[in-house]
Amino acid sequence: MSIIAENLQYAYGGTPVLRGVDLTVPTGERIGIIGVSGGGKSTLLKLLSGLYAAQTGVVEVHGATTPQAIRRQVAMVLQSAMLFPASIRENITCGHPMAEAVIERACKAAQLADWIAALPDGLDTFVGERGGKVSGGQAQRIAIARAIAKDAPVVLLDEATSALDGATGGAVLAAIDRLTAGKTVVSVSHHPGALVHCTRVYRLEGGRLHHA
Amino acid sequence: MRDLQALLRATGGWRRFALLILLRSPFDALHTLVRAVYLQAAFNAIQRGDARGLGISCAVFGIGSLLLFLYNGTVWTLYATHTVRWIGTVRRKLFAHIASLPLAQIEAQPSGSWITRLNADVQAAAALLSQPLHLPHAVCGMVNLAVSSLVLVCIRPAIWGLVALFVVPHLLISRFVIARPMTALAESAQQITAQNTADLDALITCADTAILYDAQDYLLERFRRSSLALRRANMRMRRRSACGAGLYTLLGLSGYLLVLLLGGAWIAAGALTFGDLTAAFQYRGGMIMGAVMLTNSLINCRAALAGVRRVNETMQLPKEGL
Amino acid sequence: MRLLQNLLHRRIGLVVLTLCVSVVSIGVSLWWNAQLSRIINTVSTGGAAAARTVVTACATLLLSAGLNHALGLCSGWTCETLAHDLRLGYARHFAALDAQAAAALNAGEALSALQNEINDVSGFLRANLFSIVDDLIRFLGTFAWLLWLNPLLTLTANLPVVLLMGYTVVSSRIIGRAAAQSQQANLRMNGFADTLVTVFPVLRLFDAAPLLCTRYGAALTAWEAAGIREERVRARLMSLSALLSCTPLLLLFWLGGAQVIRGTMSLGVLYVFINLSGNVSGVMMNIPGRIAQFRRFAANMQRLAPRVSVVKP
Repeated sequence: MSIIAENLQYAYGGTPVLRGVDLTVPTGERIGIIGVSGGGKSTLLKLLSGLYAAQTGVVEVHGATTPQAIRRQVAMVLQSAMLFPASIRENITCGHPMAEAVIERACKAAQLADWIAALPDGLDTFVGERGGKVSGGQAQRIAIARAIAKDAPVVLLDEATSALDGATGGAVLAAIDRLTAGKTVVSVSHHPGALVHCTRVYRLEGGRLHHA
Repeated sequence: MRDLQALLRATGGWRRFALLILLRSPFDALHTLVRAVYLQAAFNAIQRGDARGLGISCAVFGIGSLLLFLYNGTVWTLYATHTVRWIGTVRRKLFAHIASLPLAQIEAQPSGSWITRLNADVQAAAALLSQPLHLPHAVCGMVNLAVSSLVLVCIRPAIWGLVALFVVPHLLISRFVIARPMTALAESAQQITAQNTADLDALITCADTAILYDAQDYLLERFRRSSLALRRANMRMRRRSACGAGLYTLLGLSGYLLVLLLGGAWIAAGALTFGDLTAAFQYRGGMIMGAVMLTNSLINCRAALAGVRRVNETMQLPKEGL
Repeated sequence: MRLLQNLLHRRIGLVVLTLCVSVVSIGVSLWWNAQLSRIINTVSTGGAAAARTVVTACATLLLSAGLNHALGLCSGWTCETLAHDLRLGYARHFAALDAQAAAALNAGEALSALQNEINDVSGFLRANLFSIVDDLIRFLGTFAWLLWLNPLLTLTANLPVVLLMGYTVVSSRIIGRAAAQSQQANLRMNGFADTLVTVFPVLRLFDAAPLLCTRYGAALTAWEAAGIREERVRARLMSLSALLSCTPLLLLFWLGGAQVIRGTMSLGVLYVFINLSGNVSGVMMNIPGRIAQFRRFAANMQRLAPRVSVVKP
């Protein structure tokens, strides 16, 4: 199994959000989770990605059980690209040493290669404060290139295309397809239509997962 | 001050701070001394009809002032440089520490709170060591007060007694009757300011509704009332400040007059020259300025220590995995 | 400055009252110095001050204290009333807008203007308006009196101050430029706090904390360099300014002392010159700073003027 979650419980202050979530995802499978806003979908993803430590229950991702170890097995694309005020290259490498070929492959897979080639500074182009010098679609594809470059076995998608319109969403969707090819994927959305490629879809309701 | 010690131990550089503050501390006292000696020598020379002596005392004063301000400028530069570097160290450590906190901890507080910790709290803590009328000036004031008092006690204890008789009540009244209630009055004024802002907000965001229901005059009247309340709140503070201004003049000038008349009696008895008396006035001024500077600086230090406390609290938050 | 004119005109009674109290207060302060001069002339030669002189001096200082208190109250009430009129004028402008104009408003910007610009303007009115006028009256009154007492000493002791004013203008510009650079670097650095909080999840997921810390460190180093430059410039120029401001005192003693020795002036008058030198040279040295403050105030008033409706009395 790539992802195992047993009796996951999480509360903010005194308010429980997850009341005993059980989930198993075999390696290479693609599952979707839908639910209303504020239902705990993002909280579940944060637990599965190692961003949060489980208050009760167990999370195991690709054999890792501690948050720090889990994060090494996971790449995540969020609704907002969350770019650093740095160059495209630094946003992809996150400051880690990385072969140029890996960066180029990630840019090509994320549908960025042509755009970057047309830039005067190429990969060293500064993206601006909060990614202000690039469009929403370009920012999201840089985030996807970052996830591709990490080459983690598990990919988590948290409303990755919700903020994009039809014109830019197409290129981003193509990039996401490249990112998720052959990986274990957990995709979260409040639109059922965004989860059509998933083998299984769950509904998160009342703090518990139900088959949709 | 334990909070400041803890922060300085965590960031380092406390020995250099202590040394530089010590080096800064005698400036005001030396300035008082230089002026006092100059006035004494100059007036004595004038009374003797000694034009040469007057010229020499002016030249010595010029050279003394040059050396004093050269010293002050040098130490100020060193101190300010060290302070800027120290603030940089605090910011680096705080940034790195916050970057190592668990995400749940970051998300548990509004983003503004973390931005405040990194920016405003550090500025408040830094004010303790870098802004006027904080710790360095408290030390300067204390030294000026001590040196001026000591010299005055040595040359004329009775004048020192008279000065203390007027300065102590002035400080006590300034501190407990004027300054202390100001904190509560300022908080009240802030609350009324928030209400006034909310009333303007209603005027702007509910403009459509106000036009539809002909309620613009009603909203304007609400704003007018809160603005008048703000005026009243601010006037309560101004009244206290005005009392302080009157008190300062009354106690200051009456103390001056008494010392002048007493000094006159000593001059008549041949125990004092006019030059000696003007020097005594300088030391009196040093005592008053030192005491006022010390008191005001200690009040400001208390506010700045809140920033130091918050920086320490942030630095002590457990990192992820601990 | 039409807005300021309208505000002052609306409360002309209060303004005139405050000015009158200020004039009388400075007059009494000069009268106090005249008493002081008389007492010093007596005691410096070993004589005893006459009872009548002492009583007059006591009455003068009581009056002076009372007037300072009254001036604080009058200027406070006038300034707070002007600030209230400004706030109300601002609100009145919005209350009078039609539906279309109201819909086009940016509420956040309007509230920010209330909090920032109007607060700045109110703060200036409160802290500086009448103190500038007070300084001006003090300067004119004192200068005129000193000129009447001893025109030669007044002019020769204060002429170099004009040069000092020039120095103050130049040094203020230099410090201002250095401060602006430091402020720019500070803003860039403060932006990182926002970035840290915004991208925190990604920071964790991709272990990018060292990258962001390095970037922050670079911005911090730039800020440190700008800050140290600003402080060095400020320390040197302000120390020199403080040294040069000893010049009027030196000149007063050197020239005035010589006149006392020659017998053309009394010691009491010299003492008064020294006592009042702050009213003249001190105010003159502050003029460039006051002008800079007033310019900033005038710029804020100009920005506010289209959005404030002051009702005529």
